[in-house]
Amino acid sequence: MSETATPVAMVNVQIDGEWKQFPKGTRVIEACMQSGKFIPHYCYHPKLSSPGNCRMCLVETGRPKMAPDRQPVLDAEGRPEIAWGPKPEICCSAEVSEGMGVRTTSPLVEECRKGVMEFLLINHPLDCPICDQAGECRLQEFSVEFGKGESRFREEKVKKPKRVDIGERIVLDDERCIMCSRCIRFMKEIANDDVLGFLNRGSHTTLSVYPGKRLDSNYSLNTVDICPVGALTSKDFRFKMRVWFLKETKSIDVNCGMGSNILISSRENVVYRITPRENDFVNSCWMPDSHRLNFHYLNSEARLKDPLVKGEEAPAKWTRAIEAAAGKLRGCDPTKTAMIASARMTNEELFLARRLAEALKIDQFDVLLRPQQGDGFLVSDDGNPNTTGAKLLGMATGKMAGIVSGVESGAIQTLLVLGEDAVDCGISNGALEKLGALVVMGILKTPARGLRMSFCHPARGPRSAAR
Amino acid sequence: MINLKGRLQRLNKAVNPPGQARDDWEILRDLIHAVSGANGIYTIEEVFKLMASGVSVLESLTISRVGDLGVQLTLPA
Repeated sequence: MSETATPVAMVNVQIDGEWKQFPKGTRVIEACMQSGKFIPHYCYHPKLSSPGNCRMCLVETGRPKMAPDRQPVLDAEGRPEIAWGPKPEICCSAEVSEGMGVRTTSPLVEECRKGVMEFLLINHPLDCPICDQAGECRLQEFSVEFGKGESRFREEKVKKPKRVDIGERIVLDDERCIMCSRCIRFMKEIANDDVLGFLNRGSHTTLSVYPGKRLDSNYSLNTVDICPVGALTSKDFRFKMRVWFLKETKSIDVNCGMGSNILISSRENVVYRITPRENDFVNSCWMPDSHRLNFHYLNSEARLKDPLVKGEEAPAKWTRAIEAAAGKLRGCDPTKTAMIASARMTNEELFLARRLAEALKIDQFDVLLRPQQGDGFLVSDDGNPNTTGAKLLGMATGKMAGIVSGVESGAIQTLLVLGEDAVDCGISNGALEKLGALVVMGILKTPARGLRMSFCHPARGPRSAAR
Repeated sequence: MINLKGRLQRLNKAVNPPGQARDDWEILRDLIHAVSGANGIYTIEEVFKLMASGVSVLESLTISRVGDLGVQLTLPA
């Protein structure tokens, strides 16, 4: 990342017998994880504050043994001797300090993890068969590792609200909540919309929205991602697919110029869910709801599946479709031909579009700009994902107005539309009908395309073309 | 794709196009071939290579070098 002017002070810490150095201010849990140690945790999240309320990350810690002169006692190797603490400590909210010792795998630590799990499961419902979090639930995972196998709890479980509609896109199950408070902290610290909080105390602690408010921020679904259990679930995704069937593909969001990193979860060629993927250069661990939910059009009725040549049998064959388009384009007058490309296309596609324009010797081409009101966080002021690429490759020329008026006046007789809808660009249906030739490449059937196309390329699958 | 801050990132294919549908770049490639004859472009890597050879900030990059977290480009002002 960036170079810092002030050198960072390093402290020596012993983790499971090995001495290591960490920058001052590192949380002990991070030091342990960086050393390859496994620390079970629920409430700790690297991008949020540490309240230390789940107690799952208890470890044994010690500080340097001090001689009467207040100097650390050194061992034969010149390392401080450690005075181990009498009780375990949570490592998520403690910071490393000089001469500190940590034991992550002692018998006491194992006992602590088992004990905390038993407490966490006391009031937890046996929902796993019908719970949407199954398969990606931390409570399930750590139950396997640290659970007792049978319950010693003979009393009545506390009943809490289930299926609470707390927001437009989120359902809350309070019985499943283990009070880690990640969602509360996310809404307060990252989304700046402090609508979540706890009511009551002890076993009756209940997650709730502030009276009269809703969890409807455009970042609300990030709380579902960071919820370690099935308390917060997405209305869009719940009960659609068991997560263990999903194939995850690393990709990027294409809904604005931010380029948030994402994981696309699909099964058998159907996309079920999009979740953010961590990239600290771009979007940290988060993404806006509006962007992650904008994928259902891929499975819609309007999705084009075959090439089409106007006036010929549908569907056409690709060889015929390409030949029909090339035939129209080869004989065209370059001064009467224009191309509309899209800043939603990849660099490679824009490069090829440019090549096509050069092959046809046309210089009237441009992309459709999409200025919008951003939110100052992860929704940028540009609705196109690749405006920078379009500029770099010389496809953003600013000639759109001329192309539109040319089509309207009849000065342009042949029009290529790649990845856009000509109507969105401001061209009327009437003008499109008067064109000598119209070649369209797109993934959805739009009213304009359905009625007017002389030739249509159904194009790529969702995020198909690559890069 | 290159985001507004000049970060080049990979857009990866998650599902196959339905029916006869194909990748956009393949359609464009075939259309260019049909209009002006074969030009030696057959794979997406070749498209990237050809593109990168003409754009100075992309020189020395390949698709695989872009990686999962992207590459920051130094764009001309």
